[in-house]
Amino acid sequence: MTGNDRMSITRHRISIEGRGTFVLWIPFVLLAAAVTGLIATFSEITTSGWEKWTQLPRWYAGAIGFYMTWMYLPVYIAHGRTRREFVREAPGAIIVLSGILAALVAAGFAIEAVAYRAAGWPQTLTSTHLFSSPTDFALILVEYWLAFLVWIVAGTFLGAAFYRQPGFGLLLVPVALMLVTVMEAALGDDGTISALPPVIQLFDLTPQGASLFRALGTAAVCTVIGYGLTWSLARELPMRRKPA
Amino acid sequence: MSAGIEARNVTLRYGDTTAVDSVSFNLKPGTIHGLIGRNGSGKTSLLSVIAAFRKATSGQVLFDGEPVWENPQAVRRICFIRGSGDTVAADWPSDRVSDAVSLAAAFRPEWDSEYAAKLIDRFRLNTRAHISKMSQGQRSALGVVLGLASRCPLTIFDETYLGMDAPSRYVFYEELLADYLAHPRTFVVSTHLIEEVASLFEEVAILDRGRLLLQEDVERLRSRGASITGPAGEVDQLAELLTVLSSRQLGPTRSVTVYGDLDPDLVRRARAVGLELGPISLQDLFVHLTEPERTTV
Repeated sequence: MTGNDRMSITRHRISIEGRGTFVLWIPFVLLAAAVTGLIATFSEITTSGWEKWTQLPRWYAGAIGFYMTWMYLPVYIAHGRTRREFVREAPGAIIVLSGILAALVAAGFAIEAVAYRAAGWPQTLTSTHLFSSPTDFALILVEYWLAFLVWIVAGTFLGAAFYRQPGFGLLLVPVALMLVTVMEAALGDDGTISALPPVIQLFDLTPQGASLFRALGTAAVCTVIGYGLTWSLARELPMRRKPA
Repeated sequence: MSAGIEARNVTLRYGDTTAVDSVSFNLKPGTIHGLIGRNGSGKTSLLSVIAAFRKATSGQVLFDGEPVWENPQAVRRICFIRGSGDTVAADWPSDRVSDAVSLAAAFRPEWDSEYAAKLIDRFRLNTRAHISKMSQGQRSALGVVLGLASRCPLTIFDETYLGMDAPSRYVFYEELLADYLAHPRTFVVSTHLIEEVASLFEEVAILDRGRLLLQEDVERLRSRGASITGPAGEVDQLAELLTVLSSRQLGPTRSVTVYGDLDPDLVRRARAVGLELGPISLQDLFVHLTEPERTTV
């Protein structure tokens, strides 16, 4: 007999997405290094390139969340799991996966620090963050962990909405964007939030206001709201028929 | 191993459309049940409620006396196979048969890996094959593998034969029966190919326009009618007294399928004039019950 029941959804998601993340991370770092090397051939490198590249993992985190509900929630239901079990077990995977992504981003800053030092380039940050130095790894880890946490949660919410009805999902895109924007504003502005300035003004979450306390509080609120919305959509999710 | 299902006034609506309309029944545990109905009769919708794929608009389904909806103990023991679509995360072109089997093995508490390997072999599936490149028949065969090897106390196949060639369908029927005998449990098989699978069924439920027309033991159901074959004149004379479902003639010989209980006198009379009496085909009965206007009287 196989099929260990305890936290099987958590373990399965971490195993699938964790493995995929590591596989994608290596070419991602190589691409970032190649682009930096290319820029260095015709321009002087004065700022951290990795800081800019961290935009992409946010969207990747959102995609992980989206996939979790849009693709895998129905598969788990088909394999004898309840919606409630999914909603109970998925947070474990979300926390671990956002942590893995944050650790890889921090590792990217560390690799960049070594490379820049060897090349004699300054690794200057151009945006406001919880961390003030690219080698402040503890705060880097915290900042990105919180950011990815909310991005994944927003993804789960949108994934459930799109599964129920694609048109419904489209309507709820602004809600998901609102969640991540509020979170990004609380972490400082590294370019992610510039698309929705009215939100920042509304909540007075200016980049200068970034603080660890505010970031933790905002992450908690955004996560609870986002995941609450996911639950509201997933709790009676009807299985649509997929082609054989 | 008990795995009885009870539906109590189950109704399922999609907006203004009522797919299942106040259906109530009991499915005996340890039995192969056939669920037959025309296209759009509500079979898949009803099975979706039984497997907790969908919540009933009203009414409820009980599995061993417990509601199935959002009940982990119940849904762990139910495997509902609609083709292979639901149980397979064929989201990337790189997903292979082996990935689908690993997923099922990780989540099905009674999963039998050796049996899965045997079935894969019997259906001539390649574990390295990409699911996205498989034919519909091969995907259906994969669905059968996932359903049978799950060894779930309640296993439901909803038109799982779609796209399968005849040899593969016969492998399915053989394996279903062999595994049922070796590991008795409850099966529900929904199908259009009634005659092909009829011999497997012990009980049959017929659904029409979302309502349960009847649910009966197959032998008892078959005794509700008969086929009468012999010289056309003799057959016609007898058939005048009965409801004729269908009639065929080859030269001077006529064969009619009649509905209704044949009283012993009628049977004696038929035999006395040399008419052959046989059981009614389930398909003829199904056509009659779901479209009585087709019946020639």
